[in-house]
Amino acid sequence: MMRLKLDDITLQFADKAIFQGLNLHLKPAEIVCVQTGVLDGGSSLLKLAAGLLTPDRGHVVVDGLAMKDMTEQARFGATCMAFEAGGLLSIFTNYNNIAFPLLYHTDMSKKAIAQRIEPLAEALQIQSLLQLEPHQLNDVQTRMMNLLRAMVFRPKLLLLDEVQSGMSFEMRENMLNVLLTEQQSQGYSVLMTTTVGDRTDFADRTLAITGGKLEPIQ
Amino acid sequence: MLSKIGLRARRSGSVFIGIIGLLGLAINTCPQLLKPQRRRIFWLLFKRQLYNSGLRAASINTIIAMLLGIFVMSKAYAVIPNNTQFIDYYAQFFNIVVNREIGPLISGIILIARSASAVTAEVGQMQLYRQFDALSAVHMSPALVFLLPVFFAFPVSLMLMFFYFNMICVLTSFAMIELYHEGGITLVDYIRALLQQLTVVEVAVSMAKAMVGGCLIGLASLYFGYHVEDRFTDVSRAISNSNTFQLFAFFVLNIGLSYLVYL
Repeated sequence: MMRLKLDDITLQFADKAIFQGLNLHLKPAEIVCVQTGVLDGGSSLLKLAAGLLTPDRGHVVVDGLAMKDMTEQARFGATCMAFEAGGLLSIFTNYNNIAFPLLYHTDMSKKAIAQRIEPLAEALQIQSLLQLEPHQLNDVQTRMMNLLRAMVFRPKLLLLDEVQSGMSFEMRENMLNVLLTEQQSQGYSVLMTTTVGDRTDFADRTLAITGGKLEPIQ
Repeated sequence: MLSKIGLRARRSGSVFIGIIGLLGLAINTCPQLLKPQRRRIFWLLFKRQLYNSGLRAASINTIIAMLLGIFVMSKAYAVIPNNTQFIDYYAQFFNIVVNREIGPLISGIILIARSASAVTAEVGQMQLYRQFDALSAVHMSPALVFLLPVFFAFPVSLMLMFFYFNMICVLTSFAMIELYHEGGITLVDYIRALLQQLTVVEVAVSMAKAMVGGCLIGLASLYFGYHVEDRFTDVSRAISNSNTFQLFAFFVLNIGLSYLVYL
């Protein structure tokens, strides 16, 4: 069974067509990078897969279940998107931005949640940022916090929007190392948008959005 | 002129319909609290809201209640002779002025000025910066995270504020009695006289004012915050419109209930 199936997707904003007949199938534990340019629909692709956007035509299916038919509980277990910008609620601390959804969707105790968040935060070297508020983070730290949240939730499919952008070499290497180690131990699939200068060599496939469709990059 | 009146009436009507819609949504979301996971996140957010709207207002409540207690008893002495045998009249004066009318009204105004505008600003800011998308991304219901805590915390806060306001007023008005009188009236006598004046109907009306008024103020603050659009000035406009509506609605509710029950 495919982990993610985007079949014959058409998406349009006002009179601008973003996708026309787009198809994408992801296998379990597969990592796919999508190289994106300016305003070519990278974030929209991830939002479609996360169920945050509804296509004008076509189907979004995760693990055999149509996204539109899923309950919020089922969606929580299916996907989590790490946003390129924002994505955190300003009225909670960074820690609570991660812990509250777990309290909301699972039976985990506060202690168990802390035990899941803290080691990963330490591995990503952002532990000191957990008690701060979202407005105190810069763009890269915000992306890291989004990534941490997505990894802590352990969904079947991780959707990462330009997570490598703006990072120093060491930071990016460490982040990818943590991500790939977690991905192997948890077995989730990853769909990651990338931009110029980002690493894609770890991916099973690399695609690009061309003319509203996804094309493989040789 | 007439078309402007018509436009205003339509806008006010749509606000009322929107608030009734929010009330329906709140009632519809309540069954989610039967799930333990939902209940524990609700409880955390409810406590946060209650702390912000009810407890943190204690200092300003105390100051205003003290001033009012002093003022009311000074006025009582201006119209009722200074004599121990008139203690029932002092209590009656206090009950009519503070307990029935001014206490609820001032508590409501404090709730609107401090907490309701803060909720409108928070929700408006979140709407402006598309933070509700972040909530959708973690598949949490905005109704459970924002609507229910306000829906329950505002009436409870208002009830606490009524009670607290009256307590402080009783103590400061007694302090004035002590100052004017040359002995003869104790605090116990005074409280006993006040309790004799207080009827079940008055308690019920005060509770109704807190319940309905608190819900109305809370729902209106969310309604106006949620209707912020793309401009930064939309937030300040939402706060302004929200406060105007809340003050009007709360005054009408207070006067209406008092008129129906007491007159």
